[in-house]
Amino acid sequence: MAEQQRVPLPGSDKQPVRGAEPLGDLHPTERLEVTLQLRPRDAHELAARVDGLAARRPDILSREEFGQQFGTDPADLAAVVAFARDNGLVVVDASASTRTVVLSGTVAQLSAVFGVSLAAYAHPDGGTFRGRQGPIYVPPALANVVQGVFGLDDRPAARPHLRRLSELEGIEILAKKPRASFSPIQISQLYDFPSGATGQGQCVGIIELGGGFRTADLKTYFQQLGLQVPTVVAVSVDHGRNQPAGPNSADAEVMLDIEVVGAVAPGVKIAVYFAPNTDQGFIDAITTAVHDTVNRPSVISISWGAPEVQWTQASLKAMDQAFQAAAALGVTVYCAAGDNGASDFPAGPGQQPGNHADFPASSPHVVGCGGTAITVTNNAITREVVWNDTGDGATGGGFSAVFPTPTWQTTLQGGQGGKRGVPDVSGDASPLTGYAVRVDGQSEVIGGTSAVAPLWAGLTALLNNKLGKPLGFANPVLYGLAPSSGAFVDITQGNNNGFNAGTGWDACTGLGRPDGAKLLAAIASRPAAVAAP
Amino acid sequence: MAARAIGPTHPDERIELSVLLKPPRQLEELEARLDQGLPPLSREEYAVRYGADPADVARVEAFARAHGLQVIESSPARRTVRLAGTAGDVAALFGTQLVEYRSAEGTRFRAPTGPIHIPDELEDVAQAVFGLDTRPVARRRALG
Repeated sequence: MAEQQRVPLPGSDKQPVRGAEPLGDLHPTERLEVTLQLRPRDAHELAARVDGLAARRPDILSREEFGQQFGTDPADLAAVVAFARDNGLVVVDASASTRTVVLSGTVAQLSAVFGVSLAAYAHPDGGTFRGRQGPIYVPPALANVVQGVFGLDDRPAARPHLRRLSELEGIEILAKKPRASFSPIQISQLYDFPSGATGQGQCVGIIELGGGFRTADLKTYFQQLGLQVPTVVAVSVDHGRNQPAGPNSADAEVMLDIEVVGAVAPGVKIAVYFAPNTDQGFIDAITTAVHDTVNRPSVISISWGAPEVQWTQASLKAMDQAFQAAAALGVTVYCAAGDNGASDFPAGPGQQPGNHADFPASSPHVVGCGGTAITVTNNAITREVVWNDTGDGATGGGFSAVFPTPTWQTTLQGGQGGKRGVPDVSGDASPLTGYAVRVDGQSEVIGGTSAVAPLWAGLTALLNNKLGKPLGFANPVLYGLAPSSGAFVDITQGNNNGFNAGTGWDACTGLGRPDGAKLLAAIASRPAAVAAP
Repeated sequence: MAARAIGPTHPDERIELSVLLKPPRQLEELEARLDQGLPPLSREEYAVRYGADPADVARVEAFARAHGLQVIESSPARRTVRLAGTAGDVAALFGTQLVEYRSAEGTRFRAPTGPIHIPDELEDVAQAVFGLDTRPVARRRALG
């Protein structure tokens, strides 16, 4: 970028938040979206019209008329778009009628372009935010065109999120405003996933019981992350199909799963098995994926489930047998452990008393994936605890009522009723420290244990590359690693409203979250299995 | 999940069933392989060794055709035979009645009333039959 002259944008000066404590610089490659508000085409006439309305001369315009008369001058829009592109920013959206241009760029790019210095701060009332001080700068030619730049900082406008959460209970989308978000690439860096592998040659299967993906969104998402767009194929099971359904649909699940796998392991082929959300559909999707001789997935990710007690014995048996087949075929299966704490039921009618493990995560032939919440300072995790956003989701975890303690768990938990414990592993899942993804043309921050299954699936594709053979049935391997290997970072703080975290395996976060490089080293140094006689 | 009955499933409605066949040999053998940490089987090896017995597949297919059902596909590896027929034929075959419901969330599904009677000819070879009951089973675990 050439050295360019800049002038301060009037009214953009920000004073420091009193009592906020600087936590350090933001990671320069973190991506942000900012919204530029442009001047209207005819500001004087608009002002006169608003005055007229105030004087009770009702002369209301249609949205179309308004857009034509008072939208942005196309020349202004073009100038802003050109300015953004010249500076390497991605134009996410440009609308003449709303007079807005949405731009995406890294912290480093946006800081340079707008002459600001962004940093992380701890809010005196709790939580963290991205802040800046002083004015925003724009080129002189745009000084009159751009009226405001929003989104460089995300400091709370009023009180901290935690308090607002309780005030807004029931308004899920608003309540879940994140205090931090991360691209899956950042999470993979924070967890030190192995470098020098992309998952090339591996296929990751993803089971979806609704929703769909749009190729244009995937292209935009991966290009914005600077990654190749992975090959994604949709496999129809029992007439299920790739069917994007719009906002607040299962599209969020589908996109989260694909984008996390693809960002962690951009060289993989992703096969998405779409099936109806019935026991028939779920079982058929699993058996189709496991025995798929066309795509041959070596890893399968499942982010759908229900409390064990809600399944029929026939369904539990059929699905567990399918996972047993996967294990025998050397296919690693990851399942989300649930988002409703130890109860596994959302509060409200239909909630059953007591603690419940989530199925399919409780199958002993899959790796159950629990959730954590992370605090990141200076591009490193400074704190990681059990995901439990009081009243707003917590990791599933506990003990199966169906499956007995597997051989690889016997040393961990005598006296636990002789049942399989879940989860086995964990990773960042709090929506408040969630994953930046793209869904139905929008940027969203999504969490839940749904994110952890594809995170581990992507990691496993990398491990398979590095090991030169599939990890396969993972639980005996993972539980057999020495704690001194550092393969897992033990999560010892927090609870899921039923079980407490502690040293070693626990029913909140299992063995812990991965340290990817050490996990690889520990697995690679295991003695080879004795060949069959 | 409170659901409201809408009425009987139309007897001409097409229904698809997935018949899961019994394993040809004890799956404990497979578990022992896992316990011993033996190398994985190929998909092709698995299908031959642990897939459905071709004779069982043939029996299910013949039974289905004899009762006016269509065979959509058979996968020995998945131990699955998929059948299609009218709701009237299927309900009669399994000694049940099928009813349409709408869930509190607005999802329409069907479920059999009362127990299902697996016909004797199937009982010998089938572990389970799925598809009579289409109520939603799973929730997604993404929060945003």
